[in-house]
Amino acid sequence: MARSELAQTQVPIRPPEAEGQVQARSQRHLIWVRLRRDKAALAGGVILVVIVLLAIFAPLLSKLTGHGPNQLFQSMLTSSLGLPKGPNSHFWFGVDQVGRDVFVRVAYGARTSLMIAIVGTFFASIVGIILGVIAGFYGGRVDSVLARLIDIFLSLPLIVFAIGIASVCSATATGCFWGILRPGISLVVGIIALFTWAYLARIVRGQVLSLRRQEFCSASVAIGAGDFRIMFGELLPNLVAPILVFSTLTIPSNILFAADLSFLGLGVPQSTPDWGRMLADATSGGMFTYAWWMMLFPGVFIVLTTLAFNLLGDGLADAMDSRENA
Amino acid sequence: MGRYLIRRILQMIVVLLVISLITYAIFFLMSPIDPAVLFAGKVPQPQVVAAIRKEFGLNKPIYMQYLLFVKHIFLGDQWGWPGLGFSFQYRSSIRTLLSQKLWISTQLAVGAAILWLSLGIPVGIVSAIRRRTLIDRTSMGLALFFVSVPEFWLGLMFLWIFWYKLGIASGTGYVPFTTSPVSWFNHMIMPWIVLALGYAAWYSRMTRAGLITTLHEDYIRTARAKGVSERKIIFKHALRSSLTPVVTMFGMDLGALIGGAVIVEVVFNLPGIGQWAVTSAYDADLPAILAITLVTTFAITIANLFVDIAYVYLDPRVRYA
Repeated sequence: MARSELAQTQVPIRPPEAEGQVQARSQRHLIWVRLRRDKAALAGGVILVVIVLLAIFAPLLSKLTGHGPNQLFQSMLTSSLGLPKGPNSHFWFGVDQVGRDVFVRVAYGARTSLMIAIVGTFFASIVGIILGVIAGFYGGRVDSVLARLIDIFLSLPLIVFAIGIASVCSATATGCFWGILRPGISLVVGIIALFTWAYLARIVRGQVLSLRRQEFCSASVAIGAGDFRIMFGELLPNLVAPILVFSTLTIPSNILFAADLSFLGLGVPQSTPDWGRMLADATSGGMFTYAWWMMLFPGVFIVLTTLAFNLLGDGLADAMDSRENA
Repeated sequence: MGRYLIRRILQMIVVLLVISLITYAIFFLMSPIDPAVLFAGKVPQPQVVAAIRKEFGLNKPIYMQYLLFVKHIFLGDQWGWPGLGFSFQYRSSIRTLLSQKLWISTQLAVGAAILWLSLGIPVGIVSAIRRRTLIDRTSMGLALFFVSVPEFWLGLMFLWIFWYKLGIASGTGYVPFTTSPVSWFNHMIMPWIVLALGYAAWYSRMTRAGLITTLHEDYIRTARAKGVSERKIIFKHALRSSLTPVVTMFGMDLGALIGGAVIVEVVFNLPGIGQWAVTSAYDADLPAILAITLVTTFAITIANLFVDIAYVYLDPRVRYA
């Protein structure tokens, strides 16, 4: 759902002439000033920095605690029923059903989530930007074909397709699409890239359609600039704001999407620590009704991460939107 | 309008054909799974596999299989119209399965939609009117939270609190309305709420943003200058145009949900299309996956068509020729 609403978000492009007004401060500086005043966006930024640090230093945390992400600790399971034990001074977040350290796994899980969401969003954005710019710039028949393609991809049921592809491609180690999509993180990244580019493409196309008629574009044509130069040298810089805002706001959707897939048991493989997968473990057999820590910690980190991206994205949208001060 | 409708329906058929082609390519061409071998059981005997290939037309070249598939959709197969084939997993015609599951998913989607519209839009309106007040900040904070929470986590928390701890709600599963209306409602209310909360959050944000933008428009200033009451300005003038994007979204969302609210159906064990998609994926039931994708896409495109028609009544500037 999130994505389709996002595709409706409109970030106005600043007309180039507005930049020539009497002010010493650059556009970028103004945005930064506005963003700094936004406490919610700042909080989002701070949380993100912490989570990124957690992801980067996951191996260090693993070394400090002496617990590997997939290491089993029999001593942390009760001797009678084999139930996991809760948080203590050595295992801050307790252990899971087979005796793995939840804290270390949460730290490694940050890597998986951020990696999937950021890399997936990156590739989807590249495809979306290129196709959107081409459709908007050339117009005519090129545009009608691309616009129709965008429409088709927008009406694909993302989760149903993802479930199907994930299961088909995970059936064997060789994967599918002639081996491009192999089971694991790259499969989830591939699904995101393959099926979510259309949202950004639609936004970029719309913006380029209106920008193309502006004078600076005709001027570039007049001085003999090539199509490529106009598209990516002249038009694209004007689209940085909407692209940045949209991408920041799609990353959390993709984190949730990857978590959904893991929860269904179709995302990353068992051995990769992943928040969605950890929550699925907590659910199986109603484990969490006893071992609440298995549910609480991965859940809190997913919510914190998506919330942080959303706060930052909202703040960016406001800071780049001139109407906000009207 | 008539000509427009015909053009749109033709377009829709083309879209569905392209999507069926993509789906077919993904699941039958690139998949390493051989459906016939899978269908033949744990120890596939070569002659059994060959017999299955023959029966389901899997021995024909792939393009012939596809053409046959399209033909069956339009003209029906031995199980009736539209011919969607045979589920390897359930060993029954997909058409029969589909209608049962579609009914459950539709109940879930429509109930949730009523909830999220009646929650999201009013909250958005109040937030826009009382901008930067405590009520605006609280509701937008909550909205942001529900946008950021994984649906399955929310569902599990609801189950844990209201079923396991407090014992005031029924657990998972589906009870038909005709069996017991009370039990039906008890089993549907939590899925409805969990599904609706996330959407309500998005809709309140969208309504708020749309209304704030519209209230800055010149025609609103004109109305104010004429002395139109604030209530009339908001409900008669501003809301109408600021709800257009919400209507677009509503069409797509409802369409997608009728094709299966996968996570909620799995968490609450409702045997709808979404849950079917997951079990078919586990069992590599390719004909079922193909049918589910097509039906879901069909629901989305139909919903989009209705949205475009609704525009004519919502926005006086829109005219179709």
